Amino acid sequence: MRFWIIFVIIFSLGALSIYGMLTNGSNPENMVVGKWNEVKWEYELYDKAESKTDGTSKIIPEDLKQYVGGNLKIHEAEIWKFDPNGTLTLTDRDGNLLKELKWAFKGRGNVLNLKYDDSSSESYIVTSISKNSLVLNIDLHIGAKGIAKLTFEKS
Amino acid sequence: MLRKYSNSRSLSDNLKLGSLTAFTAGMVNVASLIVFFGFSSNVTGHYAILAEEISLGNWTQVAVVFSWIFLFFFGNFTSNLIIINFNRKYTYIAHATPIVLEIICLLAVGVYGIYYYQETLFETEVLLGLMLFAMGLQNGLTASISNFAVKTTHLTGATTDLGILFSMFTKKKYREHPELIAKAKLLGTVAICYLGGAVFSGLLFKSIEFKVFYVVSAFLVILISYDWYKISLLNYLKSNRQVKTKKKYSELEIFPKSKREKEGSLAS
Repeated sequence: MRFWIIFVIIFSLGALSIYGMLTNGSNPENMVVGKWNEVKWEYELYDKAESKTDGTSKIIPEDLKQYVGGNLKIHEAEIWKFDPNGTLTLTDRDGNLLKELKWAFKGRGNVLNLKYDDSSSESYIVTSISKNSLVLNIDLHIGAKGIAKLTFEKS
Repeated sequence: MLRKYSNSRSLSDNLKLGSLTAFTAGMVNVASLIVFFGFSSNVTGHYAILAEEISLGNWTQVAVVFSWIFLFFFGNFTSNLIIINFNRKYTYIAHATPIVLEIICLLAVGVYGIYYYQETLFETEVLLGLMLFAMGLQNGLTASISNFAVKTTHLTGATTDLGILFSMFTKKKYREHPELIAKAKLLGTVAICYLGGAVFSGLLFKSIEFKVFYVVSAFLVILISYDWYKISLLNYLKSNRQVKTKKKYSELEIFPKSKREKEGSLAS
């Protein structure tokens, strides 16, 4: 009997504290739904000697963006529309459809995983997400000296 | 592997238990990393993330990470609670129950992943929590029955101890110390098996995806079946030996008794 009493007390305490914190928080899945405009690309920790920038700004030029984003399929999209059904629509500034893919959050909501029709996928680290701004980091794994950062504003 | 408790365990018992459970822990950890982007067998990183999320005031993430740590803790708690309450009467059952619970958890993850997983964040968090609970059960069991000698779900402590041991082995007097050699053998085996399981799981996941949890469960079934087989075999041998001994003694006793009866009758 004592076995079950201890077991139930410990479990209830843990479950209650988790429930309390969960009900006071926000869900990134709900926050991301909507249309996001790509504002800027930054290349953190970039090699100043190799880049063609003046070294004062972290905003990278188009040629370097092409270089670091070479392995990424979505780097030319400028408007990302997240639908609640898990579809992500990528369009350019003129509204022309570029691609449709599937999105899902992984981990504790800190990883945005994008899946293409050919079952390949890309992962972005969700650095921050709020009502009006979304910052994603890409770990390129291509030997590039740094991490690319994408910043979005909600439209 | 599971029958013996604490100091009655030999190095061979710990090596068998450590290698098999470390292999499965490595498999589970890599599978969870590939499919859920989160570790399921080590919680040190989760503590660091918890601290970061608290400092940022992301209370949902705090709740999620806290619940994972809690579930790992609760797995250890449950495992040891079962052992200390039922160990005396039913040793094997007390030691096998946490593994059975672990198999149930991992099979649940596998079945859910194959047939129902919609990739929502809630599902990801719950399934990862279930795996952390399973790993807690395993770690609690191995640590508890081996007198804290075998811990297989994370390698921070093992790597630390190996570093210390290898530095000690630079001196001859330590190189010839049987206890230190045994400890190094055990820790080295655990580390290699964990890595082996992790690589195996990574390769396997590409082709069979969530079914990898069935494979992990199969390894755990081997773990409990091995001891079940041993116990059955030992019981059979024991009962067989008892029958033979009884027969032998009865033969030995009958002769002197009949002799005594004969002598008694002659005397009278």
